[in-house]
Amino acid sequence: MTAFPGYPIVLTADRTLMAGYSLLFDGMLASSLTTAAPPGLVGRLVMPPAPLTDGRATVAPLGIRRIEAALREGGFTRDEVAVVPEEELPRAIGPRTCAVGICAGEPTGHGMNSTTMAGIAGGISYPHAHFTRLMATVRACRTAAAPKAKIILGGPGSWQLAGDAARRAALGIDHVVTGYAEGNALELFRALRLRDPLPAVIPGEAVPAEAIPPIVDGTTMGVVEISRGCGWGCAFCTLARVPMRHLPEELIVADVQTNLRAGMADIAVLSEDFFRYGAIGASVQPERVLGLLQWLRGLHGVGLLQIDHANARSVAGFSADELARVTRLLVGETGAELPWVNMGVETASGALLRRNGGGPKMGGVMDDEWGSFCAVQLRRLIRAGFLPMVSLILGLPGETPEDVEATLRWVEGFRGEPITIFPVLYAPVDGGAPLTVRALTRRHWQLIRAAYTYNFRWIPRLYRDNQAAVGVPPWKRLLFQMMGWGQAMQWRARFALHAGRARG
Amino acid sequence: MTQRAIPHLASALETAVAHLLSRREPEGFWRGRLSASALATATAVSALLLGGEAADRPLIRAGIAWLRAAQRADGGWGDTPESPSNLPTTLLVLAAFRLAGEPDSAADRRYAVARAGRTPAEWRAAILRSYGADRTFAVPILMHGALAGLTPWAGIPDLPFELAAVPRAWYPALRLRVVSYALPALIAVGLLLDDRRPPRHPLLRAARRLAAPRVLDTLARIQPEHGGFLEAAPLTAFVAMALIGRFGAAHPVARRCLAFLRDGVRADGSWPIDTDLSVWVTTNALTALGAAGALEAIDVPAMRRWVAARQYTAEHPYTGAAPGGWGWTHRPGGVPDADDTAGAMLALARLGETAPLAAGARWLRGLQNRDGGWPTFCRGWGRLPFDTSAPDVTAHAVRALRAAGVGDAARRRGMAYLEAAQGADGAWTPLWFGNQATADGTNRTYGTARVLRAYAVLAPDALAAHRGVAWLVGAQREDGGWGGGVEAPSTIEETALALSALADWPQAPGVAEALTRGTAYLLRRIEAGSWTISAPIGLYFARLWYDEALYPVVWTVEALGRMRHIFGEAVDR
Repeated sequence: MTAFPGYPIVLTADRTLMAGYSLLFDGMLASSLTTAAPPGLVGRLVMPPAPLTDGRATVAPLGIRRIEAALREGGFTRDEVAVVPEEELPRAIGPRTCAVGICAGEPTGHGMNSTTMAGIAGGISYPHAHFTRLMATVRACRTAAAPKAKIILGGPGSWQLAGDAARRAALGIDHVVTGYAEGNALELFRALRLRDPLPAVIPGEAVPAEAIPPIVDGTTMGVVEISRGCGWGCAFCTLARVPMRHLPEELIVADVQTNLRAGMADIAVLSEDFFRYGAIGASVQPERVLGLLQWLRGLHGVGLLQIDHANARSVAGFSADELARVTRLLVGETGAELPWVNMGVETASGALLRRNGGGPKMGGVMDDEWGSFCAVQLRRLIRAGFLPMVSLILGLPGETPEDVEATLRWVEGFRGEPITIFPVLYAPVDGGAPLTVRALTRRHWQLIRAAYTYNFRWIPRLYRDNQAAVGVPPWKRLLFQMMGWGQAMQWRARFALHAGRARG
Repeated sequence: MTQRAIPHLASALETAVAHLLSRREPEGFWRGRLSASALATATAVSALLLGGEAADRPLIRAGIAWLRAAQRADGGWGDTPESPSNLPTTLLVLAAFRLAGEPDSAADRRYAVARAGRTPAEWRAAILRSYGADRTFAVPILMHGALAGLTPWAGIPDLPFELAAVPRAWYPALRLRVVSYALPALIAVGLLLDDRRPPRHPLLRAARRLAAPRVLDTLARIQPEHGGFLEAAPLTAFVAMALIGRFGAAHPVARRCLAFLRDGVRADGSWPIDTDLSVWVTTNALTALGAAGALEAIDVPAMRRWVAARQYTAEHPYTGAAPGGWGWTHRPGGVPDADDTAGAMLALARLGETAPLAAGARWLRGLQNRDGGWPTFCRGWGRLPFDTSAPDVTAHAVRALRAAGVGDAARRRGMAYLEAAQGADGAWTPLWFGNQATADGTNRTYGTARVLRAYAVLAPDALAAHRGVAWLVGAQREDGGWGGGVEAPSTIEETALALSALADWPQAPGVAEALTRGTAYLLRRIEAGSWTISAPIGLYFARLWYDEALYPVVWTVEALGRMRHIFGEAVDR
């Protein structure tokens, strides 16, 4: 029997992007944990390996699936392109392999979530740690079986390596592609197949939304995208530099159906601003959003529909009735009582947000009304049945003690209400050093502790509720709750430790 | 002329404008961000090491760690983290390691050995060869190597520092082998070399003894208050090293140099090649916002005041330049130059502020060379490239004079220079921009695009203009973008500049299609989110590469703004 010669093109990602998650929130949890949490428990409970079919991954990050689809559309066959998890790489990479494509989320650990969690909890964020481990595996496989194969990296975290040739060399990466790349993926992989030279850093090229290729297999967490980009220019966000483009309903439905066929009944419907789907300029179109949800809800086998980001300005364009209809369509017959939505408030100080490019995000809201405007929209979401999940950024350039004070008061104003609030430490998106926990003041820590008072109360409930809705067995739900208690105890102790050391 | 609307152009422009606006400083201007530099970091670390202050040890450790992490796979170091290794930077880093007591391993030396040979004498010869007649940078590099014990003192060419004691007006006649901006290095490095290898001729020895106090006075007089010569870490570090080597760390000029270096370090342990290009990027940004019809988004009166306040109102001590010009930065180490003066004048004209233009125009006219072109800093200083007329600078200057409504004769002479400077293929080669992917490192797309902007307003029907347009159209790549030359891969920067230039000739053969394809390329990059990653196309003094984070953003806003006029508005859905 001859050894398998490998697939010509192998696509992969680290475990945090390719696990067998049950919920969208599992993925968020995985990206928030650090190696201070026991790897055995995290690996088995939070991010268990996804099932395989013929050694291939049944689920993979949407970005990988799009590249796979672009290659298949361009004439590559299933035998030429394989999407596999890390564990399968030794069997997938062989002498015939000419390219290993990697989707990276946190290759250097410079993202805001990683720097915040590692700073507070200690250890290394799992996305960073698992990426490092994946690269070691890829390098070893290449050395052993395909010394001439090129390693090409893309994905949402690729910007972290685009300006760092030395780090790329240390990781063994030959090429980095930045941004969406359906427009030139085919040409790049053809060149790699022919062993033609390519530049070290390759800018990705997009295709029009209507030409985005539909996926051919399931995605991690059943993720489908309904729009790309945001375009409002906030200085602290990479997607703010990409104008919002809405995918056609037919493409979204096709992607959902592919996921259903792959066994992913619970779908994550992603956008940088869910309520802006179909908007004309900044003018939201509630009927378009509701129409899409109705279409998806009507598909046979769809379970819980989960969304991630929304912006206060867009929520304001929906009536109370429309928001309630959105909630009902998301939940369907699953019985979920706490659908959540993430809203980037960033700071209660409108002036600070505007100074960091947030003017378009704020729309016509005056600086001193930004906090109260967001609070009103959050309470409207709560009344519509959502559990809002607010993100705040501490240490934005130009932040004053008064800004921190205003945000602290704003956080405290939600006492007794169903809400979660996650402050993260500012990290520049063009490189440069992130804010460290050492630079936080006592007031910052007071704000973090106030926010986590809500989180410690509501995250376990959210988890219980959402897990029950998607059919996670009771024993596993109990284990999650126990792990959550342990994490909460650990975090409370870390907060106390850091706050005690903080400057005035 | 309005051509068929391009879908999504309006929203892409809106996003690009929003991003540009988000990069402002709280005061409203743009600072930008220059790439980290191994060369600047190596020289800064070495100067701090020679300074011997215990408090600098954390900076030195962080700098060495950054250099270690920046080493390329071939064992060498490049100018920017995305630049290929080169010998001068590699030798400077090895010298820094030596001074820090870090053993430089065979792996560290392998690039230098492969490029220049095994012996220190071979390295010295290679450095001298790479800079030819220009000693501006070669001699300080060799001095740095000698201070670290890496290369020998013997064989380093002399720097005649005593010539800095003669009246400034005589400099052009002396035909110095260093460029005008390098006066501090001429003095400080020359003094150290004189100390280590005193001249044999008694008359020269005596002349130098007499000149030394005077040139040291000159050095102190031209040093900015914060200590940084030209805001440049390498130049300032070379001066510090030389003075410490000759007079010890207590020398007041050296102390101020070290203070500047401490102030300029970045959080990751690196130093950029220069502090910032704030005036340059701000005036470019204002012009771009004007082209995009987005000036209402900024506080125009405040920005008028900001730009106007950067105009020098007294003779500049560094170059002896008359009042009226602008430098590249708002910081004390800036020096007036023709490119930044032109940029500021064009931005002010766009903002409707005309009062400072007359003095600016006077200053520009005073700088014009006999050949009709404009140099960067000093008229007729010498024949080294950075002191002679340059097409990109000249094109900018004639546009500024036109905006000021003066200088007809000067403009005519400028245009004649541009015509003479055009290459046989119809392109122009700029001085201050290059492209690492072209065979000779030049960036003819930048040069041609910049010169065509001058032709568009001063001689649109000239044959030279049409040859330039034809070259630019022919240089467009298959993907619709432009690179630094016909053979270089497309970048956002060059594509945006080419589009902005061709927008003035929509009726010329091939231009309409080139604009459509070029705009489509920009939109693909913007929608992919890959449009803000800057390419190292900037050339600093001594042809050091740098990239500036704002270049792709500023030039994209300008290009899309101009394209909107051509293609009209299309409602995005």
